[in-house]
Amino acid sequence: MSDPTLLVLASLAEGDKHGYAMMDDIERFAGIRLGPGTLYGAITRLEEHGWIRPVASHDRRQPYTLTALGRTHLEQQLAGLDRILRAGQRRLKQA
Amino acid sequence: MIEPRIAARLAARCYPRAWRKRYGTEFDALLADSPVCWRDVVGILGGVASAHWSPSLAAVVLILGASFSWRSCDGAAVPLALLALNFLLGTPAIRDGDTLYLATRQLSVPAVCDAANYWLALAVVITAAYARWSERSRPTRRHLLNLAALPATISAEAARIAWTGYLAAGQTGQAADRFPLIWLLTALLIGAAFHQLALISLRGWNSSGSAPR
Repeated sequence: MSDPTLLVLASLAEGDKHGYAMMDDIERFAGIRLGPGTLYGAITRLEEHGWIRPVASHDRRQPYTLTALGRTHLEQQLAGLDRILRAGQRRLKQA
Repeated sequence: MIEPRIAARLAARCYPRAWRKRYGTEFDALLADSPVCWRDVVGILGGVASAHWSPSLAAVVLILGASFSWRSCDGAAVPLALLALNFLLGTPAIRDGDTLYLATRQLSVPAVCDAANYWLALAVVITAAYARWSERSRPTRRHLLNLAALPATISAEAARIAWTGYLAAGQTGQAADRFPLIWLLTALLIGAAFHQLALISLRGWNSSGSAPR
């Protein structure tokens, strides 16, 4: 669960955020500090895929929001991770 | 000793112009807000390399690697010209909701453009490999390989043109399901023109037997 794009999507699932707020939020909930280069690499890819989009702002700091497509993608990714998590935990118990 | 924050700002200047235009202001704001260390500078340089990298650029590197002589470069001249055109045109601007239903799968605009770029990159590599190989092959096989390698290039360029047409249709308020036939015809005509140019180019090269050094 250290894919920067997934971390950004998970952060935006809570609400619109700009870059620094995302970095701060990801560090709090995942314990991972994304550097500016990594964060904007993820933002660029996510926007290219249409999973996030910028929202109007009068500030230099640009907030982003999750699109419907992004929400669906996040749900699919989390469902996949959940399956792996459950299988891993079940197998650890059986071992 | 240079400060990491200053180094980060300098590194950020190395992003491609289009990237700077789109993300430059907010990225500078982020650098001003957040603590910056040397590890972040390295991360930014990685981001710079990644932003400059593309399937088209990858193809250029591959073809340079594959081309051990001027002859093979000459054989791939037409796809390289198309690749340069593709690279210059870049990916169209993204708007939320830009999607195309293709064979019941919903594809985003960048996904389609990426696919076109990959086709083009593949075509360049195939053509380079062909050019290299044909230096040692019998002349009768050359035209067959010309015909095998080039359609990928042409289809990629035609797809790009068709997609540009689709975007133009979207900008004028037309829905994707009313994609104008005229754009498809234009794409096919331009694709056919590229095909002819490519064949003429390679035929000339084949008839001379080798390219001038």
